[in-house]
Amino acid sequence: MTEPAFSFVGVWTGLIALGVILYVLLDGFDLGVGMLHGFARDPADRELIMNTIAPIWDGNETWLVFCGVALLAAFPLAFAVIIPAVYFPILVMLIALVFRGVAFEFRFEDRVRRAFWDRAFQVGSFGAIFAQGVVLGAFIQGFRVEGRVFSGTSVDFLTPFSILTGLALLFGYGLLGAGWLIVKTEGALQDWARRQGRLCLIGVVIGIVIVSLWTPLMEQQIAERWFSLPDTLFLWPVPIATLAVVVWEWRALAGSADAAPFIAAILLFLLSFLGIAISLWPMIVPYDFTLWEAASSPSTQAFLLVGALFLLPVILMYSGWSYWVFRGKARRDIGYH
Amino acid sequence: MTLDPLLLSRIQFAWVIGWHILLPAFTVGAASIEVPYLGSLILTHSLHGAIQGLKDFPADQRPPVAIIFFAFRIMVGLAVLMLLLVAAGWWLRYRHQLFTSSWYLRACQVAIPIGFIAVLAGWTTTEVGRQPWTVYGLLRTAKSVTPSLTGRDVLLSLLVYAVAYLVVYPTGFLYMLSLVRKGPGPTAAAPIEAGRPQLPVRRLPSAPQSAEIP
Repeated sequence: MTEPAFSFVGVWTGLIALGVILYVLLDGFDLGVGMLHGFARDPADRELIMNTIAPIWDGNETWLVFCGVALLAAFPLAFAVIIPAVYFPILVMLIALVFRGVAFEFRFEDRVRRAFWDRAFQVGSFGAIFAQGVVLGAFIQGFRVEGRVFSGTSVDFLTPFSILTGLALLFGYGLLGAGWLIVKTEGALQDWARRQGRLCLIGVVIGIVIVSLWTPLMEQQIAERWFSLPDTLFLWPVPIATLAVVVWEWRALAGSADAAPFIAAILLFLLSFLGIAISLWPMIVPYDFTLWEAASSPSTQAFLLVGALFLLPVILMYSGWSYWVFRGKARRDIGYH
Repeated sequence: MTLDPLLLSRIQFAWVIGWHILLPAFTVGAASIEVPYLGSLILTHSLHGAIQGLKDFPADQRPPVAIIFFAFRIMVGLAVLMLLLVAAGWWLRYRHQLFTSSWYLRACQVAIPIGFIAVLAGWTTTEVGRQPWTVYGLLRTAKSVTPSLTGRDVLLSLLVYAVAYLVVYPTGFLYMLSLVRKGPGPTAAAPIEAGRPQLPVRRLPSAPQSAEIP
């Protein structure tokens, strides 16, 4: 079989990056809402908070599945190294998502034990976010590799750095969740969400600062990327823009704008994503394999692309449609479940 | 679609199940078994393709036969049972006795789990039947194990999954039981908590009586 002349590695890198960004932003805010909702004291408020995400939360997890399958099929070597290395955090994430999903459905049905299911929903959200942050930390740190297999152990993921990224992500998703609640609610509940958002923003800033200082110290390669001339001149707009967005977010949370806190939180995530991408490019298994080394054959990637190009517009359309249908403020008198 | 040829040779007597009386052709371990048309059609896409018997494969490429033998029979046996229930239901319906034959309703109630058991037996048939291969002819199951995972890791994660399912499923089951015990209530009285308001548009007394409200 003749190989296509065109390499699809760039296309698949873009698609997986898009999938990760959409997953982190979309499931990020509903996981964050799940975490925050347990802190709301009034049961009626908790009800309203749940109703803001009820129509859309499970569609958001589509992107997790998309990313997993795309990584397996388009970059099988990366999948084979990364997934065994983060076996346990992924296990924790899946179990947490199981409980979260079950709790979400049961709390609407089982009035008697609603408080219990609310708690399960919150704990599940916490667990899933923390596990995802740990996976991120382990990924940035890189893996022990011999030949083409992961040669470490199943507890390699557990380091001070990965625990830090786990905690930082709790604040990050909390910020997204608070931004979403500010968009969807009014009055006292919105004020409460603004206060939660400010607390989370403090945590996020601390997290970003520590990670930004720690990674160049940890990896020579990252230090060279950020601190060697003339690259530095092109790259430093990223941290400066991040600082500007942080200031904007702080003010927006204190002010009265509905949409600005959520938009600023999204920008903050995009800038962080960009920062990590700059640090690690072109590695898909950091410090061992580049995107091109880990890619499956061009004909495989071309074949997959045909399916993805049909599937992606469909997913984007129905997701967009469900957000459109349920636009506007959530109301106390009608809910959807 | 291509099927694992070894799996098919293991279960080819499949086609016997419904036809047990017509085609007593079942044997395990015969050098080659001839089952007319259907097996060869599925495997080779032609009516006269040859199907290999189990003994045509070296001993280290055979799966544990006993498990497949029973799992397959359980699956098909339960399928026949379910079809009989359906046929009996049609017959009773035709005789206008469907809702009054308590023996039949009781049988349906007892039959609730057999669909699940049939699915599990069928799954067991395919998964055990394709052993010892993960990818047929290319990758053996023993070779496809993740190198970094120890037996303890696998045991631990399996236990965690087991605990999660043992919490989630019985909880759901008990909840469903409590719903059944309560029985169907007056649905109209249920408060609107989810979905649309029951009457999106209320007709005003002053509205013209001829106006149709969709």
